[in-house]
Amino acid sequence: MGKITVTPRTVHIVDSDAACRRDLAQLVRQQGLDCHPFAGLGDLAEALGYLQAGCVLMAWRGQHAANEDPNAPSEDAGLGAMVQSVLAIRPEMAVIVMAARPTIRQVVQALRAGAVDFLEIPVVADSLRPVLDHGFAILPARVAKQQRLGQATALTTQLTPREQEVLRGVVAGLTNRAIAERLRIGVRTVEMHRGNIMQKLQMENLAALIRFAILTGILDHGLDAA
Amino acid sequence: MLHDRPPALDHWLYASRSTIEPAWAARSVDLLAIQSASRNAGLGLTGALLFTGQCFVQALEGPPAALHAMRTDISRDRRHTGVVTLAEGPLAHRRFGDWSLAYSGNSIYLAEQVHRAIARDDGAPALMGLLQAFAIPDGGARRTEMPQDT
Repeated sequence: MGKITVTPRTVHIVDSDAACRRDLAQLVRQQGLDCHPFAGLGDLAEALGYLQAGCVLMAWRGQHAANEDPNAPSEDAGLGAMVQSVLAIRPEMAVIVMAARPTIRQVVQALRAGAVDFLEIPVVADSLRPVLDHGFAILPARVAKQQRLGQATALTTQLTPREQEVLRGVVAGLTNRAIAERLRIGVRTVEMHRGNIMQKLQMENLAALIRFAILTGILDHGLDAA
Repeated sequence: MLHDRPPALDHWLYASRSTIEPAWAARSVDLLAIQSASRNAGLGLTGALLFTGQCFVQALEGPPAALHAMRTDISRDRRHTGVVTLAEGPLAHRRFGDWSLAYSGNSIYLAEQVHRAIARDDGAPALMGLLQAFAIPDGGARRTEMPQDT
């Protein structure tokens, strides 16, 4: 079987054009990288849940040939949706959009949707390599962030609704007394909840708790519920 | 006076090189954007800022006095150097609805496009088009005139 790779470098390719897909896959493999080609977004979507984290090279091919009708409504909005369909499931993936003769708008759509970079079709090794290198350079931090987020979210689900309310108050900087008044419970009860929260979330101190809350987005829910 | 004339507008498009330590660049620019957004809003300045990791490109437009003051501040700002004016002068209509951070990131492709446009004598319209494309919210069917590059 294959050797154990310490840092797996995997490139997923999505392109409906079979010839281009084959050429690009070859180019990627020549760089010494693993390559998984997909013929369409649907094929990728089926596998997305268990694919190795890596770079995703996605070809954007409008349904009409380029320049066929300059007044035809642009489908560039679909380009952003294509990028987001990957990032919604796998936010850590480094998505790189490819297009032949890209317009400003297409590049902007891709980057706004969260793509890390853009490549012009036909893709050549000289431009591919630095873009993939950049993608792989940022990947570990993105993977780590997703893992922390996953762990943190799992921990949060262990809190009771009441504990979650208290946590929002703590994170918002309220005193125990203020939290008690808002929730119409005793200060002692708030203290008890706080102790349980710290234990369940495995937090050593308030600073760690605040960091955790920012990471999991507890702050985003604001104080409304409290 | 028989009718009110629309208030005078000036604009300025410039490029510059970042002097921010790369490791801090993303955070610094985020912070800068938060400060600039409120300051520009207070001064009646609209526009957009783009950061490629190495270069800044910014379009600003608004009342001449406010823009002049901001230009002076920007020219003195030590977070960048080599400020080059790409376009300036009076403007009939604002082209931006507010001030925003158009892009801050490390796209190699975008950086190349931007650096090439900065180097060209006639690169200003392409850069302006880029800033506008980023700044105009893509609310589905909303169509504005497409900036023509080349």
